[in-house]
Amino acid sequence: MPIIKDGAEVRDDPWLMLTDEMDVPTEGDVIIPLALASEKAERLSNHNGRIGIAIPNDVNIEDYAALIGTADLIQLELPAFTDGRAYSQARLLREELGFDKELRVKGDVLVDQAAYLKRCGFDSFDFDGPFDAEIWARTLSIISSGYQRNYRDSLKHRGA
Amino acid sequence: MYIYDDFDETFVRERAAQFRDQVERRLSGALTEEQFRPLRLMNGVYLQLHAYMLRVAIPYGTLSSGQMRQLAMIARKYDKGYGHFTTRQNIQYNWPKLKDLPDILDDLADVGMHAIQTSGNCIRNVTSDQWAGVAADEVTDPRPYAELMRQWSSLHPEFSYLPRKFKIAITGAEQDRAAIAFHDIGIRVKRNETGEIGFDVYVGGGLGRTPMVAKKIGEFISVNDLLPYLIAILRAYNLEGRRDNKYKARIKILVHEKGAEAFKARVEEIFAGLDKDKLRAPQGELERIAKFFDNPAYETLEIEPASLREARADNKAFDAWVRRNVAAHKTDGYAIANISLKPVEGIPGDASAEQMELVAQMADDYSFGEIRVSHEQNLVLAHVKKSDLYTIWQALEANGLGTPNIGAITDMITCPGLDYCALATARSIPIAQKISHKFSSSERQSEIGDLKIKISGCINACGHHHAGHIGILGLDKKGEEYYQITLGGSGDENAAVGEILGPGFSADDVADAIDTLVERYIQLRSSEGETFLDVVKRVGLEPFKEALYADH
Ligand code: SF4
Repeated sequence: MPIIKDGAEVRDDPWLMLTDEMDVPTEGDVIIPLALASEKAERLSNHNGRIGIAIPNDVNIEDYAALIGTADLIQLELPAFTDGRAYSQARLLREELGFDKELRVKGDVLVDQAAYLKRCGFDSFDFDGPFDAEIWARTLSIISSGYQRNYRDSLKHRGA
Repeated sequence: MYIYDDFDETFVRERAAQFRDQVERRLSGALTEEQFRPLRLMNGVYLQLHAYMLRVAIPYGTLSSGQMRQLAMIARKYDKGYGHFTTRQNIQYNWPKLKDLPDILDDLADVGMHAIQTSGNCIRNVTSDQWAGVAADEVTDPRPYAELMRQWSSLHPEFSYLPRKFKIAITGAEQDRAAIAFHDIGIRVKRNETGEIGFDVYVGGGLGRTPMVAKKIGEFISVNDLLPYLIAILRAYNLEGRRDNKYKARIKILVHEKGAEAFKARVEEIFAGLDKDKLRAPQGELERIAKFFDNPAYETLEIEPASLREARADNKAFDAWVRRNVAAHKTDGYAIANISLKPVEGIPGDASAEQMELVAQMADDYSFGEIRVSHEQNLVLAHVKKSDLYTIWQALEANGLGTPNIGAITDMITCPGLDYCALATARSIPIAQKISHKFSSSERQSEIGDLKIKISGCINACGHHHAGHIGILGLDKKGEEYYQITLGGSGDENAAVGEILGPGFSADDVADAIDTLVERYIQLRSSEGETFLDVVKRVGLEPFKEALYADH
């Protein structure tokens, strides 16, 4: 399960994914599934550490603007690499809700998708399978220009 | 036509390099076929029955003579010496090898071409009226907007993993030759009383298993808002379109299930929230693009040169070709010459490398070096002098390109069917060949007049049979091919889905059945001017059913 950020594997990812049965620890960084957020709200208010929220891909992001505003990390899902809903959710988060903390994608990430995901606003990637830093770097930089403007855009655009 | 600048060129070169890298990773085993599949699809590479197929984009069907020559070169070098022009105004090669594909893409990039998004669940090549910019009935030239959309949709980071493929068509003419009502998004360019341009936007049209005519949801959207408005539609679809069932994943199903009004409201809600200034075309970009579509240097010519009149009077075959294949141009003394790729018993849409080169030469000599591909799988020389028509026709005729049947019964749209396609339930090309044989006489064809037959080899409807005045759908019943006939479909501004007549016919009987329908039509029509479609609309299906099934 590598977690990739800035082109490299994160060795000690501080984030702990909470599940149903788990109690909210008193400290440390936790990611809580959206469905558990209200149930565990009280425990979370005393929590000493950063809080991330994992949002499924069939949720209307705009309905959770207030909650999202308090989060230190949002995690979106790619249950299958062909399921592109998270790309639009990411853009809504970045461009409309102004979310500017870490945006993580978890699931079936293929290296060839990473450039698109990044352009939609993701900055960390959590997926199964091998990670090859050299292929990753090459794949992300092979296309240097774009016709569309994007979040924290690093591509070349016409006339610029 | 639009010419690439350094920016476009770099982009396409990098895309070709990216695909080369992906193919290498596939060949080395770093990518599984399952992982490679969406990557190759997004670059127009299919795995067909016998081989890989490469589909090359011809944006809104416009190409230069130099590009056409390169397509011919590719046909010769990597394929069996021919290519197939498609209903999406693209060209397909049916026999390339996987290892050659990166080289083909480099060859394409040399002439400003590519295979980006000619397949896959992304925004496909934008299509338009093959007579754009020259048609006498045009309100505004749609090509600058088509090019803008081509650029905007290329490797779109948000819309490359949609629930299903996504097709956009645009027209600027009264008569809809781009079949916008059968696209995921159809756009009609309009001009209001003050001369301002705006777009009527239709959404949710499509053929396939569940044919639907698109519904209008956007009324006179401004030029400035075009891209943000498209983004709102695509975003609504990407978030809410069905992904549980591939046959229900097109936007037409979402629009249908949600209701056009509710879908429109959702699009407007998303649109209202967009930071539009960031999403519009960059300042000056549309003007930059539009310059490429300025009129070529037309001369001042006689409206009807005597030489043309004389040649027509002297040569019946030429006269027949002019009547069927030549259309009105907006400029005096010029004409639109349509080149049929539907010779009798040929394979609809196929052209040999030599034919492509001849057309390129004709374009250089007589039509400002430009060629169009129509969604009806024919080619167009869009700016020829009427006084050159006879010379052009002679050259075409000598090379098997002079068939005088544009819009006639043998100008059929036919999908590849079981001869090539892995999804097919029946053959379609041999059926087209039989029909074309039956109606080969050009006198008979001109007596029949305008009649569009469209043939698909399975319910995916790539041959647009739902939109055919006569539609033919090839099915399979216990290992036997049989063909269902529909009547009354139409892809124009009065778009309609054809209705099934009754039980299907065997491969041997289809052509006779069509003959019976045509005979019935001739008896029923009130004058020669009343077309097949007019008669079906007037009398309904009954008289045709009677003619076909009375003795059964
Ligand atoms: S209609 Fe069916 S047979 Fe014909 S090309 Fe499409 S999928 Fe293949």
